[in-house]
Amino acid sequence: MTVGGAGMGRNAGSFELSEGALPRFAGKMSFANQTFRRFGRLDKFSKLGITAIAYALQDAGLDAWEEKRDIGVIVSTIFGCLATDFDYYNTVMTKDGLLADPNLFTYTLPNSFLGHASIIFGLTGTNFVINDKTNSGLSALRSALDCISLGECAAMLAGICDVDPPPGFPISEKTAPGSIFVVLEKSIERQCRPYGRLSIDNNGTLFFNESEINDIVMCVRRCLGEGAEI
Amino acid sequence: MLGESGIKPVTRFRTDAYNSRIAACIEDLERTGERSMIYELLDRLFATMGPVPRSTFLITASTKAGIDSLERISHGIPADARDCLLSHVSDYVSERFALVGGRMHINAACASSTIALGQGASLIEMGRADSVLICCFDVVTEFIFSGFCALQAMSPVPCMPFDVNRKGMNIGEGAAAMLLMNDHASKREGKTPIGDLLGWSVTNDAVHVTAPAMDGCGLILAIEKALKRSGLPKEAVSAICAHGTGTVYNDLMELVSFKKIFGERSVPVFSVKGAIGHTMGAAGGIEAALCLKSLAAGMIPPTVGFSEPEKGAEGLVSSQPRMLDGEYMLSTNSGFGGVNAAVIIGKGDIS
Repeated sequence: MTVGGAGMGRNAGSFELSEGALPRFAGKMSFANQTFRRFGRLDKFSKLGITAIAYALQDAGLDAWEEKRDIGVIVSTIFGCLATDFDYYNTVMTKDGLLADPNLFTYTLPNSFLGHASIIFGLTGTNFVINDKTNSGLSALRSALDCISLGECAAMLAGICDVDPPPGFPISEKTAPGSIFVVLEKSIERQCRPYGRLSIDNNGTLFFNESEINDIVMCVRRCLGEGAEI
Repeated sequence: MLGESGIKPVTRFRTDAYNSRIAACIEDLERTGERSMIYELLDRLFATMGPVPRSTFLITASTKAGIDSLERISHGIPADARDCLLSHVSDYVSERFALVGGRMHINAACASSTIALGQGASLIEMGRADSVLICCFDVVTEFIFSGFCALQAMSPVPCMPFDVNRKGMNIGEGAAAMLLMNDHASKREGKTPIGDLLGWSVTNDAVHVTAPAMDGCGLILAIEKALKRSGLPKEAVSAICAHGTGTVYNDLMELVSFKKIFGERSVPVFSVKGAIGHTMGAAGGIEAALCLKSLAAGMIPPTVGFSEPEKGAEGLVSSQPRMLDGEYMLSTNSGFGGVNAAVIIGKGDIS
């Protein structure tokens, strides 16, 4: 889910991660015959991440489920839930703490949305957030590959997620808002045509179909057959 | 080991509006200038540490790190905004030891540093590092204190893990650092191992975002996976360092989980949160370090605050220190987002 819109895989059309305003989110989310009615009450960071996870799972044919699956999620983020942090602390400052918002506080932990995604899609595997300095997503991809290689999980979602920092926040780091997730599996047992093979060498360098990739955007472009970089 | 508690009235910020007035704060821990007090905490930790090989990969873990700087910014008080980015605090640790081996900051609520240990071990097992520094930290701030109070999770009295009269948790602060190395690196650097990290796992309950799954499904899976990775039978576990926050739901969930795994065997269970509070993202790392100390000393710490057992805790939890008969401990942590993490720690050869 990016400024360019929301989509998945082969149905995404062109793909880019660019600065600008993210699309508006719906009040509720429906995927695989499930409706997540609380979606509208989540913070923006959580909505963004859950939406991208949903699309990735749908693209991989993994959105529907009956029993929980040993699938994990690792996401890297620069700002994490910083915007929600400020929103929450504003409720603390109002009336000296008497109006501290418990619902908002829950979302001052950037992994909370992974909890929602796990509930919606029955995911019980390795899950955590990496606070990164860039939005390359490489750290998440590496960790996810390691999980699969070590037999920790049958499949992994790996991705990035960032919303804009609060307006006027005095930090110079710039990143395009958006969330991108890929689904990694060691073996294909289901009827799903893989995009290609992701591998890693001993130095941590990542390759898609034996060509080095520098970030998750490049990985996705290679998946879509877009050879040119931005 | 003395059975004392560091949970005391909070003086760092006003607590009038909250249903709890106590926490385990480190005395005289304060900010220096515009920077977060997290750096003062880290500096104190580093002062006790020996050298770290420069090629070491760094994994830091914390939930909110420099969030006190966000508080100051919100009040219009000068503070370094970069402290609000956890990767920035991770940079500080890396620069302190001049590390060039790469870095990562893990954020997964109260399981953050347990997961960091597992990720460090994974890197070594995958051959991409032979030395990994795990550094975890969190401080008591009104930001965090108010949130847990708003969630009605905090106890107005010092917490009582696994006690039938428990009323909730108390937060604490702290930091820990552990250097993981493979045999080759430890020999090369002349380091004597004080223990072994034998198994690890992270799972999700997939049940609720803030409450644990009452059937313990996620924690049970994490313990099973960690045991499987360790190659040890469950009978080898001689004690459990539980998450033991003192909340009604967490402690019940853990008792259910331990019973499911270990059956009728009375494996000693303890929690240190009655002594040092719930140190949030630092909890797993601090508790793993305490497990190493326990194994070396052959002693299980007392569960401070415990007196009358919750059903299921009889014979497992004690308010007194106990002899530790065995070489392996299980340490578990759970957190918001439904996350659970478990590590199996083995006694080092200190002969």
